[in-house]
Amino acid sequence: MRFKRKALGLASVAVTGALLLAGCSGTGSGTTTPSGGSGSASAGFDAAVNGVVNPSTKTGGTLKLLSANDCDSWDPARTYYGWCLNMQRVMSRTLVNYSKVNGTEFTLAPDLATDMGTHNADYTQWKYTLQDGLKYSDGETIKAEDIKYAIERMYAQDVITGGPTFYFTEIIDAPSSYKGPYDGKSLPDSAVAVSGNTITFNLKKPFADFNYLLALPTSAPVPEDKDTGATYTRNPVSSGPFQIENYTPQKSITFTRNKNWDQASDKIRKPLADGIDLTINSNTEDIDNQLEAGSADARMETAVGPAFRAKIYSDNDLKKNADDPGGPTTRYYSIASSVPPLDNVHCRRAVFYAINKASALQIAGGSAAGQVAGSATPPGIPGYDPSYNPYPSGSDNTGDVAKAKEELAACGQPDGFSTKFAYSTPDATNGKAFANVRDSLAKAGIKVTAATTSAENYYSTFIGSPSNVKKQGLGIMMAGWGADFPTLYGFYQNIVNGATIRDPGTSNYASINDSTVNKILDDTGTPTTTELGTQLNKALMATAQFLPMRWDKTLWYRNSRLTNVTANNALGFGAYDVVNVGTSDGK
Amino acid sequence: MIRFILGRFAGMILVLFIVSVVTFGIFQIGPIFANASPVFYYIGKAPATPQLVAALEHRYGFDQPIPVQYFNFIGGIFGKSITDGVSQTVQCPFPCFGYSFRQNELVSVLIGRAIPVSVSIIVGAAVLWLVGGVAVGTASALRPGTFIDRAGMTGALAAVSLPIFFTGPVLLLIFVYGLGWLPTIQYASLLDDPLRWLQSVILPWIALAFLFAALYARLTRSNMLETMGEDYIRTARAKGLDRRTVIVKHGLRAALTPIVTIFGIDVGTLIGTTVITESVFNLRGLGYLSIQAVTQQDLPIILGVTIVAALGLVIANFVVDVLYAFIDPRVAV
Amino acid sequence: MSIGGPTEFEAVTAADGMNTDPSGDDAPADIQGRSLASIAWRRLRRDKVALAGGVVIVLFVLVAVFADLIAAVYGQNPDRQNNLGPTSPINDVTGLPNGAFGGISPEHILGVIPLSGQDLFINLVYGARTSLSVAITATALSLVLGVSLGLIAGYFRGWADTVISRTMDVLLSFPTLLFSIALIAVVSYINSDPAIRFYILVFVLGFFAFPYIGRIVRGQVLSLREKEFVEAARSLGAGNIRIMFREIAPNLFGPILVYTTLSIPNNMLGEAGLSFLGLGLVGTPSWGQLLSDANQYLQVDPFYLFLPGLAIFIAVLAFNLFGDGLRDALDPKSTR
Repeated sequence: MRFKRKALGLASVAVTGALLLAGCSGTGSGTTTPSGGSGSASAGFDAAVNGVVNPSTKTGGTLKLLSANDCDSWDPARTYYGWCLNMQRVMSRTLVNYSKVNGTEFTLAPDLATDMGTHNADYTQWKYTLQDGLKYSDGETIKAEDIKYAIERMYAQDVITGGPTFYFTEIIDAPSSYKGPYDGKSLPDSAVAVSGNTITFNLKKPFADFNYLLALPTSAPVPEDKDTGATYTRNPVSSGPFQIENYTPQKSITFTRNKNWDQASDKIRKPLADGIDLTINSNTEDIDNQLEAGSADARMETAVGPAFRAKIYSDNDLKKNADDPGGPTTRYYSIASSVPPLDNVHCRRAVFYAINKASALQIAGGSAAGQVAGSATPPGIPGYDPSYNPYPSGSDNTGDVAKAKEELAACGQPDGFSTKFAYSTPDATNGKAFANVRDSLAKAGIKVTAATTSAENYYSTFIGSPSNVKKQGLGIMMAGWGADFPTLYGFYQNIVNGATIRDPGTSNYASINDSTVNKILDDTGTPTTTELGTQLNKALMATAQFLPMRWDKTLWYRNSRLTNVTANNALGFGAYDVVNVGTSDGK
Repeated sequence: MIRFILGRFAGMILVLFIVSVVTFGIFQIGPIFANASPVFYYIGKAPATPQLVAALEHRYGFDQPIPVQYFNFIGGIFGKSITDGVSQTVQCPFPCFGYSFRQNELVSVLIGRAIPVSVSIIVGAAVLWLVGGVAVGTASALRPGTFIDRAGMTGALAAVSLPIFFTGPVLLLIFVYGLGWLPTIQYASLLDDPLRWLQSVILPWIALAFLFAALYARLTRSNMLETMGEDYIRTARAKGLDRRTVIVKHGLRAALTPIVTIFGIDVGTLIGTTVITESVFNLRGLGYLSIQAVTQQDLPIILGVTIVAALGLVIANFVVDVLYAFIDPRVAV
Repeated sequence: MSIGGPTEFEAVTAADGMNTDPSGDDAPADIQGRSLASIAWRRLRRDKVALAGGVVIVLFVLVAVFADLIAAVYGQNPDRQNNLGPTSPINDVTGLPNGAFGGISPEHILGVIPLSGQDLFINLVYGARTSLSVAITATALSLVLGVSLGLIAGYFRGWADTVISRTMDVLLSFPTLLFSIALIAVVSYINSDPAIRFYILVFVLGFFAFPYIGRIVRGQVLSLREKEFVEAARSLGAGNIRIMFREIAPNLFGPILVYTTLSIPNNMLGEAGLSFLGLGLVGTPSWGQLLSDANQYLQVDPFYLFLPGLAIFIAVLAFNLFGDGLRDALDPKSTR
């Protein structure tokens, strides 16, 4: 998922007073052994990362969840926050969905569909059959037309804003004039064809990862007569085991069981709870206190606060209820080759060598917040190799000044140069990260000044606009990205493919345009392999425009009364997969 | 008198007009300098293609001339239906400040939800600081130059020098995290849970009142000293009236009139501007709403809160002016 | 900025109780003025509290001016990360400073900042520079605007007075705080240069405060222009400019001085408050920013909160004490 989803939450939290910071015991790296199924484990630290905590079949009870922020949207097509994609699992079913979300290797399974679908030889046509007798929460039948309609509304880009709809609209073979269903037009059969219970997607180009796209909630069926356009977020119809009972934006949302959902039709979800209450609580300290006291079950949107984190690591009774999963997420600095003298690869490499990654990790929260990244590809994405580090910044990752000076000389700037470091405000941690960059680069003679803007437009128009990057001279830009699905395309397409450079609105902040990288990503007709992943990682690192800082981990806390708990590393940055969670006391 | 009141009323409308124009202006003109589209205030999230930006500009009316956009907004305050979907319209009754696309809610609903929080903070604090400030100020004025006076005034000067973003956290540290007398702050409505409500607003009251009481103490003292020096007070004392009676019946009353005036204006000013207090104590009042809207660049909310705050301020000024004119008719000439 | 009343993070001490109506017993003439100054100085010298405030102010100014020198002698810079290795003052599991007192050690005399291990003392030193430079520049701006517009309004009266006075009235009934927050957000959206943040901060603090000094100056000038010495100068053929600056302006020295010393601490609180909200300077240490960061560690590192809080408190109190003493010394009616 776009990283800003999460970063945004943090930004507004910064105002109220708590922040995602971590510090950690040095438990393992992000390399976790994939367990075949979901694995199982009793309670204990990190038990939900690869396994299932307190396996149980006991039903009943209401989950009491907390978050400091509301979702960007409850409309399945418009949400893009990682934790909200995770929440959608309770109410939105799609043709195909994730059946295993913990660990770093995830599996897909048929959800609304009878099987994983069939595709033609070059992956340009995908065909699925809907199960019979599926019903929405209002008792109406779920029809294949409703999925086609969900695709159609993605084309109304001025209404259905915010979600990862671009994945669909870019590859489905729709007429370029198509502007969505709200002016009464439908997609022709040459794009999406429906016949009875079967639905066929015709693509403009081969796309081997199509099932992963469908596993996002974005294409969940929407009945046309219930679609209220931009206000659909207020009352979306449920196809999953829970339905919205009551929703007050920015305050609370409660779910009750959907009586029309049939366990027999759903191989993925095994809901145990009777209801789910999610309360938006602006006081993050209060959230942590409720977690510690056991009066709330889990925090959904981000890691626990710094005070509670310190308590967790110093108290084994608390620590055994905590998990610190790492997912396919890389924090990195984008280095703009449009800003002299960084147009010279040697000057860029000088930055790579001089940077102090170890202190940066410590600022983010130490080993609880992840591990130092040597290359771009994070755990869970093919080609991940923790030993590969083409530009080692010293043996302890605190910067290699001698090597940096060599590169500066090769660049023709032996005395160093000046550039800007872009980050978003208000966020105290970003300020500390800037101090680290300024301090470590100064040792090599590179002078850095700050360039900041509000978190809200940081990605969209500040570093997301190549002309602005050039005009303001944003040489080094703080960024981060979590995979939308665990393939090369799902992680890299938006952030490094030269084809996605737009002005404004690109996520390829450094305007990376490397032929090898582009070729691998453009070749969507070939399923991802480790070999391709390695090739892409190496080609990307050779550009010296993508400076990997760390692979993320996030610290979560679960109430000890919860059963069947796993971390959702596939979609939720490791937040608990609430749809399957139950309670041991039935309350 | 009527002419005076009408004149003041016209002034009030003028100020509101200027405030709305200026606030609207900086947010509409700002993005033009940045060569960006104001639609980012409304959506800001989608990886925007130029076509998408154009479509959104059209939908939200940013392709219209700026004055037209302004009058659409102002007209909207008095109630209309706004389109926030394609086929969907939302009835937005008076006072309607538009629709926040970021929060998927009517701005009037968000403001309506925030006002009780802010009012709870302000009213409680106001009572505390008025009583406390006047008491300390009076005590000081009665014995000028003594230890009580010096202690009171030095304390007041110290209190004025303490920012709320320092006293607030210290109060939290003592009463919530240290002594544990209060739970972590989580606002509840007075009607739903009076105890929880009191627990959530008592510290903000103290923090805010501490600062203002200091000011009022200084003000009361100087007013009292001035009044006590007036001839009629000396006359009253000379007539042999009891000192207490003189102070309460004559001195305090005369000294308090200007204080009550300032009090009215201060309370009006605080509406919508208790930003720091609400941030420190995590209370979602108007101040929190506005700072959140500013960081999210949610224009409809910023405009709404600013106008509500300006309204509080000008109404307070208006009421005080008119009351003053009744008390002292010379003003209204 | 100052608002139509005190705001929650700054009080209009500058205006409260200030004598804005020059009555007959003010001594405006040049000769008398000089003797008034010497009387005031004698009174001020006897006011130990005010003098103590003055000394503290001088100390803060020296610290701010020689921040680089202090950093060099002390051997730390505000950016340096001391968060790695076995000798680090930061606990690498919790990210918090070791010990109960924020990681105090001979190397870090006031401890370090959580997670990054930046030295707190040197950050406070540079914070003084930020605080004073913003506050003094903002005060200068409000003085330039307030004095010149007040002079014009009071001296020329008529339509100039009407326009200026009404503008000041409107500004005083503006929801200035909200407006400033919005303005800072928009400007930093337009331009990311840290220098712009400085100018906009100075602008919102200085511009919205000018009506206070403007009103005071206007009131003084209104009465001064009727005095004999002005008449005398006019009859000798002095022009308006000459009268305004040579005859009237020197008599405004007292109120301007008092306003200045009381407006600086207000602006310090304003700068700290906006920094606390994340709208202050970037890439530069500031007390408000440190306090806002310290808020996250209230339960686990309370020591971190007290130091920047005390720095603000002491500096602001010093200015307030000195300004108060100055006002009393300059006030002929003062009983002290």
